[in-house]
Amino acid sequence: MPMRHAIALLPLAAVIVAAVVWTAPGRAEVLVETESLYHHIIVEADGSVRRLLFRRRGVDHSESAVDLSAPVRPQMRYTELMFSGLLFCEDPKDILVLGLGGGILSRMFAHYHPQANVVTVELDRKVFEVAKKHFGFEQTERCQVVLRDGRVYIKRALSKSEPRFDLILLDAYRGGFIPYHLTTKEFFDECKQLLKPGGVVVSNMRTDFETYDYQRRTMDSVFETCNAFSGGGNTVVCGLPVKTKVSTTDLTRRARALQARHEFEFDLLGVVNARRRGPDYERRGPIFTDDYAPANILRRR
Amino acid sequence: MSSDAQRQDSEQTHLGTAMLIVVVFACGFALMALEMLGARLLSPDFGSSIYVWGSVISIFLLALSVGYWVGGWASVWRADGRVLAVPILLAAGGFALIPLIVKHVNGCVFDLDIEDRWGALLSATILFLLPSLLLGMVSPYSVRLATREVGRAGASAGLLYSISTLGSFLGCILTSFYFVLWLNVSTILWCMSAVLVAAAVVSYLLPRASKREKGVRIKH
Repeated sequence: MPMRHAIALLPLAAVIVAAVVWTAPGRAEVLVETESLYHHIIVEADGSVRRLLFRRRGVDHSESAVDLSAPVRPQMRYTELMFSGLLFCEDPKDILVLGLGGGILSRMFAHYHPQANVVTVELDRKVFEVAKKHFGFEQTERCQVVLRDGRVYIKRALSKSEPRFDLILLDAYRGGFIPYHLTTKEFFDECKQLLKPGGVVVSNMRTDFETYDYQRRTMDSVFETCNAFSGGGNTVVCGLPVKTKVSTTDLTRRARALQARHEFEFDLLGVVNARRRGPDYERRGPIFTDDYAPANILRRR
Repeated sequence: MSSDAQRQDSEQTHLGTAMLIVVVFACGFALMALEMLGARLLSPDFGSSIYVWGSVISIFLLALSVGYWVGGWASVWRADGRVLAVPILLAAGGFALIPLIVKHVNGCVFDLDIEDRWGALLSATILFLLPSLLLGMVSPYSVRLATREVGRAGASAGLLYSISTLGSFLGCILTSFYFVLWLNVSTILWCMSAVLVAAAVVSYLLPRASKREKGVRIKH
């Protein structure tokens, strides 16, 4: 009977599929799998590309990726989108990054702005060690890492007269979610206060999470102008403390100028094209505050 | 003693035990709800590092350790539901106060500019030590109230600690799974404060010990 023959072939087919998958080129090799105080850290190597993953609830969340042979070429769409901040603040002198990961953002911003000070705040010492050992991240005088909670760093900085920043990049993820105290209105207020005049807060959000609408509304409640850029399952929002309306034509012009000046290994015009025209979230509803922030309970939608 | 009086006495005992069960359940529930919210109250100023959780849990354990001891001795001094109502009512006041003072307390401690870990511990002490100490007094005191015969003291203690811990389990899981999703942290604390006021009332209304029992002196 043909049916029975087909069934008999199933194990054989399974073996063939398994063999093909096993030997397929580009299969990632796990370099490190370790527990830290905060994360289950996995580092994968795929050719010269290193990828940092945090495992949570059985899912490996891709946090950061670096191509060691091209260390300032973004491997993830959101990394490119974070450069949308430059469209609103062309020449940042002081840059703050929350969340080191593989260190690609800090490294790229330091690379393209050699005169700027880049401060990266990372909670997990082991992530810092992994970034140095497996992602080729190096601290320099102008690219320093501070091991501390991001919000505490910002509060401490506020209680002193400096530093202040032109660009604050928020990318502190803990395996698919942002710690709740880094999502609230009070937190964004503190970020806003830490900006120099003309500064921008750039926040990386997951578009497919229930928290997305809350996060957008929360940023709307703090910043006069919000510009969003979407792609690859992420939305990057640039929050400006001043009310400005910039046309896409203007942004395209700025992107061209920046591209010509820095010769990015990605297309900044592509970032402008990813700009969201209308709101893609429910504008009315609750926001996150220090009193109400179930940011780590809301699920993927 | 007539059989009528004996029956009445035993009914009173059953009613008293049932009321004590309600009291220790409510106190266990509120205590763990506060502990679960502890880290949320501290994280805006001290982050969500592991030492923030560590501070909250260690202060609660220290408070319980002292509370058990004080509660035990208070029951020797006077075994009366009206006395038990006092620490529960004071704890209710503490719960209601926390949302009003948390920003100020954290702000003041933050301005001391001590190391983050010690800041978190100091804030946790100011905010949580007293309310949790007062609630720690409830279990041993209730054990004394539920005990009519020395031979059954272990059974009373077992029952009340079991119920109190069951309350803690539910307070823990409901707060962390659902309440923080539905309500503001301050609203949850005010609800817990109301629950504690109700527990204090139940405790105040506990039936008095009968004359017969008062005559029995348990030697300590």
